[in-house]
Amino acid sequence: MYAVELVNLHKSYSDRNALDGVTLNVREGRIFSLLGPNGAGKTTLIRSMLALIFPDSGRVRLLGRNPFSERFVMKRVGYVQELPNLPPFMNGRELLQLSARVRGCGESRIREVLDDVGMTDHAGRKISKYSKGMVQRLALAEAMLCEPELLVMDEPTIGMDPALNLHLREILDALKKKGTTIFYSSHQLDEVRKLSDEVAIMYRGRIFARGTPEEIVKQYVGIRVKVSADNIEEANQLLSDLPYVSSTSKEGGKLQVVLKEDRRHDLLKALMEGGVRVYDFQMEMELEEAYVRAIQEARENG
Amino acid sequence: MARRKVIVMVAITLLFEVGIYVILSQLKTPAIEQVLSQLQGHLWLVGTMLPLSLLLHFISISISSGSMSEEYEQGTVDFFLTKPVSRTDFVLGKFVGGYLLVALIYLLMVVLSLIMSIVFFGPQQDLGYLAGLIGSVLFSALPFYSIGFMLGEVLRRTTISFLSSSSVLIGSILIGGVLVFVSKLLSSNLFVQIAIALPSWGAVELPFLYASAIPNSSLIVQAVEVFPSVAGSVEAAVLYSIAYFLSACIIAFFSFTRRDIPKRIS
Repeated sequence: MYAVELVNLHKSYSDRNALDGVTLNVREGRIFSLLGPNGAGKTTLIRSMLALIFPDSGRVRLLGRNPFSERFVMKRVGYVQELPNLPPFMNGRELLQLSARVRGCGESRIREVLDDVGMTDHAGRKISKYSKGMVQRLALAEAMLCEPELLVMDEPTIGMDPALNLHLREILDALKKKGTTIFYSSHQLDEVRKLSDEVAIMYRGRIFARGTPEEIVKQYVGIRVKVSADNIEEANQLLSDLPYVSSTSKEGGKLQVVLKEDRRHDLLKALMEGGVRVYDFQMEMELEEAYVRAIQEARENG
Repeated sequence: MARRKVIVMVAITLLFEVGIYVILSQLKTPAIEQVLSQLQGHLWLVGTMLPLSLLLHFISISISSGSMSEEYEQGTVDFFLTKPVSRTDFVLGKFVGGYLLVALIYLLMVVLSLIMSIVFFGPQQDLGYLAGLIGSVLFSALPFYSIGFMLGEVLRRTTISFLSSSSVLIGSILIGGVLVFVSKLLSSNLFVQIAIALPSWGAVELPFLYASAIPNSSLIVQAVEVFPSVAGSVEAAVLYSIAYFLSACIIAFFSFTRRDIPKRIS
């Protein structure tokens, strides 16, 4: 079953198409990341999913329900927005109590989620007195409070310090293990690569690339393998003649091999059969480069 | 912000009500004392009715014009609408919550005027009319409360919606006065009918029409009506008040349930 189903979503403003026929399904229990430059339509897409924006046409389903008409589905959805705007006159604990009441999940987890985000000591302070990072932590706690089945996060790392950023990854991993689907929009490509099961790249209201981080890298950068071996020179000679190898180069005692197609097994076999002792053999995941090339390609294709 | 606004309004209410009765009690000339001695059993009407011409409507507008727009300006509307709360529930909650606040402020005025009139002028008479008067006042507050609420939702900016709503209130009162003057000049009833159809007429006149039924109080009722009264019926006042209230509510409701929620505006 899909946690998020978006079918042919269109949304236009007077000067541009914010969403231009977006179709997207995210399976339950996956971490899905949405990438794209500013103005690509990521936030419009997320706000349409959450029924904050009415699409001109198309269909939205969250956990199999229409969030526009079946509002009860929002009990099972958590949302962390980019620079959260929480009621400033409340304190952190009051906000969580209110959220628990509105979502009907009880207040038993308040202490636990405050602990999770390191906000227990600040829960009695007014939100208006919080720093950006503290507001972000509280928003994350609030989103996790009712153990959502779907957690939607729109650039949640803005304003977060590196320690919380690292902690966020642990939190998301833990949520994923519990089966929570996470729909994540971010510019932090390193985080996205480490976290995501699946990635989509958006540009001018369209999704034009989609797959696992590895697939995206393969599609836009090619397959790059770094080989560490006892004899780099010999390895270089062996591999550079292979028909499926595009190029080889030596980099800091390692050999970087660019493949025309995904024949990593054949490559390794060739090395071993050639008598080279291989210490390390791994694919390079240059998601950032893939992203830049993907956007470039999208721009060129109009 | 909202809390500060409420504190300011309560402070204004206290000053206003206490001020009225302290001033009345200090008027010591024989002529005034003679008039007051005849009216002292109905002086509770001064504190309950004097705010109606302008103050209560300004309080209503001040609360209602910020009711929705402050949610947009602070971005907190996102917080509530990403919960299992329908837009209808949200807009109704905001409307009713704000209106209850207006009602509480007016009830505070009433309580203060009762206490002060009893303390300064002794036992009060005809308090049986009080419930009806409160009802008519709260009903008459609805048109401008709704207009402020509607403009707050449609414009989504607190300052602009407050200024626009206030302009409608003041403009309507001024135009009404001019129309009555013109009607006297031309001896034509048409201009009076137009004045009656303006939003301020029903909102301002209804409680005075109701209070005119209280025995021996006509002098006080006339004295506390700041703006010149325009003759009309209770039915017309109720009808026009309902018409403005419903129109504003329908526009606000459709605006909120059909329009996108933008990212934080300011």
